[in-house]
Amino acid sequence: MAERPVGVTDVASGAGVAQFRTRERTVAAEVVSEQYLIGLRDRVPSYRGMVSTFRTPGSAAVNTALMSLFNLSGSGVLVAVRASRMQADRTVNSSTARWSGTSLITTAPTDGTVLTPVGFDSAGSHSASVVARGLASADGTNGTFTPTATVTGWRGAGLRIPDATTMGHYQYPDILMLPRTARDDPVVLREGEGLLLSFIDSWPTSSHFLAALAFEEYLP
Amino acid sequence: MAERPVGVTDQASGAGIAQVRTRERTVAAEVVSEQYVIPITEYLDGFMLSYRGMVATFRTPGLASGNHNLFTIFNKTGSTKIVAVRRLVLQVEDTGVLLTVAPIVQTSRITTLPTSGTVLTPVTCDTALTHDTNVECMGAASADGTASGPIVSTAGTRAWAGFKMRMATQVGQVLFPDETLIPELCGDTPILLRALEGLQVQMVQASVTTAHYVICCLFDELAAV
Repeated sequence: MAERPVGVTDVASGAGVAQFRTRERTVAAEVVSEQYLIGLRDRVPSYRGMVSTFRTPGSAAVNTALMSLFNLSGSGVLVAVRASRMQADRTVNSSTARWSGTSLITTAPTDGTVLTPVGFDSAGSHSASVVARGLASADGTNGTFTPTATVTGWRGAGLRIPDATTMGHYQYPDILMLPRTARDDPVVLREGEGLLLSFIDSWPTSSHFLAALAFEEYLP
Repeated sequence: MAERPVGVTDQASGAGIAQVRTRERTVAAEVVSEQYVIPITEYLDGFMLSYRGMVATFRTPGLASGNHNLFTIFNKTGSTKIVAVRRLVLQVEDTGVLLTVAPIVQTSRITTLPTSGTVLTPVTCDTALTHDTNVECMGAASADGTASGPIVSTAGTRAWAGFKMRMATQVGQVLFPDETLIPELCGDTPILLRALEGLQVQMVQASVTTAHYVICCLFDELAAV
């Protein structure tokens, strides 16, 4: 590979002449013009939003669903999930390892509490066919949420503190429930697909969780 | 999709000729020139950066009352700018013990101008840029450790939330990363505040008064081209 200036006729400014913005500098003994370009994303979102659960107590049962985001059939949009995280607070010590996971589901959840996303820009238009749901109906109050997890695609460790004298919450980085790369290369939910965050193991009901998702809706 | 070289006449350098910078290599048996370009970040079509600022609250004591507001940023009515919030973080220091579940700190959108707090002065990231006074940030402390009149503002729907740091017996500070109060992806995909819109950071439950908070925010002001 080599520098290869391409010469183009530079028309003097005036009526009927459009001018590209460039900066001029010397590279490899040649005076060249480097063009400014406005980078646009390939995805043009019709809506960009974030949604958080209420504070959700742990469940003594295994495989308890915590939060879902589902793109219903007929929505007409694709959903790009760009971030998914959890936070935990434990008021009781534990010596048992416990995990949570994210899976792809193809059956729309029908129970739980519908969560209202908040837009990144009030000019966006949220599709009512993209539905977030959670286990908790209010801070500290769980309802019934029964979607079934499938193969776990990403796992997060839960906070636990084995020493009875140091139980409590230590602030730490978010538990990521999707790869960090989803920020640039998101998980795409097509119609009839969703993501489910769930507790793989049982948790003391004295545990508390917050989960959140950031996503975009865009036209195919 | 297939490679599709586009041929243009290559003029010899000299008067009246501009040279577009490219590098030459062979792709799919064709000698092609790949152009060097300067990408311009644009968060919003048709707008460009007019100001970039950062703002920090004073060290704000916790309050025993529930739902106390810690910080707001608001784009006032009549503003011609769009505010792009790119980073919003919390740091906590606590000298007391809390055995019960930690309070939630949450961010929500608001559409009513907050009142009664302490107006904070942003610091520019480039002195060549001009801050629009229609963009107002407020904190709940008037000086480090001194609570001011509370920020009067009603929270909207919870958008992003985390737990405040707490400790059971080992009082003191644990060094930890910032608590992000909006998604980290906002660094390049910011939350946009149009006129009469804002963000509010609120401690949802009562907090121990031994806790101290600092909120920091990085934001851009965008002007129509």
